[in-house]
Amino acid sequence: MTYFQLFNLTVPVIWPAVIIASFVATLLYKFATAEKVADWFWDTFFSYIFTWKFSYILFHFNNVLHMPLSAIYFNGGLKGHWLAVFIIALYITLFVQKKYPQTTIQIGPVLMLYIASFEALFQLFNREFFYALTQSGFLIAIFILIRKYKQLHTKTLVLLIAIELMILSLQHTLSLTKLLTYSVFTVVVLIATRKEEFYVKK
Amino acid sequence: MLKNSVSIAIIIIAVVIIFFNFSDKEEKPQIEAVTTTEEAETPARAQAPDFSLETLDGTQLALSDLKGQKVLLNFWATWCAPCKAEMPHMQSFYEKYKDKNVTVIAVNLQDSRDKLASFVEEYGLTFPISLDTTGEIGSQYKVFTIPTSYFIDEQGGIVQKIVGPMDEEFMEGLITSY
Repeated sequence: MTYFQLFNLTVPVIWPAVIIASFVATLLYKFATAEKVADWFWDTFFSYIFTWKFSYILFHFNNVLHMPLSAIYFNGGLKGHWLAVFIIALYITLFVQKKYPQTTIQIGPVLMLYIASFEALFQLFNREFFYALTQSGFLIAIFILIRKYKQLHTKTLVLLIAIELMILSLQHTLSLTKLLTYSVFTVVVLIATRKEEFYVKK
Repeated sequence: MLKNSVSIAIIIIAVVIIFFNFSDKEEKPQIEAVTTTEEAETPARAQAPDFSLETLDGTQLALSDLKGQKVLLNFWATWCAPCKAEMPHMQSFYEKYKDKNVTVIAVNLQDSRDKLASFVEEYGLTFPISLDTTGEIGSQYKVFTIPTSYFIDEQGGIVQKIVGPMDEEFMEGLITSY
């Protein structure tokens, strides 16, 4: 992992990669479909960040009692990540479609654009330029696909995720956390999409 | 037909992913051997400036005495809130790694001995605390804000400088990365 200096703080490059990828994914989706990503995306994004950040309180309750400011300095780490993934999985499968029906169409393409943008930026910030270029090529291919078909069939989504995991495997950058996280996201998207297909058939 | 092709492609890719991650384990000794050769050829990391300071318990501790161990060198003071916040994490990290060839040295910048002693007691700190009473070592290490930490390898090379507080998971991630 590479770090960079942001004012008086050393920051791991994964943080800016996560944030910038969110903007890139929503912008690319808008360019590809001429449709704005509904607020479900930012609701999900901020739910993740909020849970990950402040789950530190839950996992280090005694430290926070002794030093309340530590909740500002630290985050929930890996445990916080999984708690946040669980929270957004619940949010997407149970609540988001009632509030934003367009999620069903948007969630697959946005997930793929997000993952590919994140990987391209993460490799770029780690100064792995060849890997960043490979991921950018994959991102462009996804963009073209979405531009042509406007949405992704569930099988296509699984195929694209599989290709992403294969690229990461070939680059030797596929960690267990990444593999499980992307797999959970894919399952959540499949559940969310299937639910809507069921309603449409009815 | 197209749907079947997609399914077949997914299965083939899944097999490739499993194969590559499985074959990684098989090839690990070879990869390690190559890395060792590469490391011997690449220039050494910037050396951490050596220093010798008195610790809170009255002994003299020199950085050069710790060659052969990974060192987490932390610059801090009792009045600094983020430094206080990271101390329980540092203690926990020290307890977990002290028998794994890892040492923590917390260089205190210009606190009085009395204040420091009561702080150490309150937080139950057991790692060595060196006293930089003049701030000279802090300046040598370009410590402009605290906490600032350095991760140093077994040969005394600087692996990473971190400005800001770190929690245990962060420290573990870094110390196990080299």
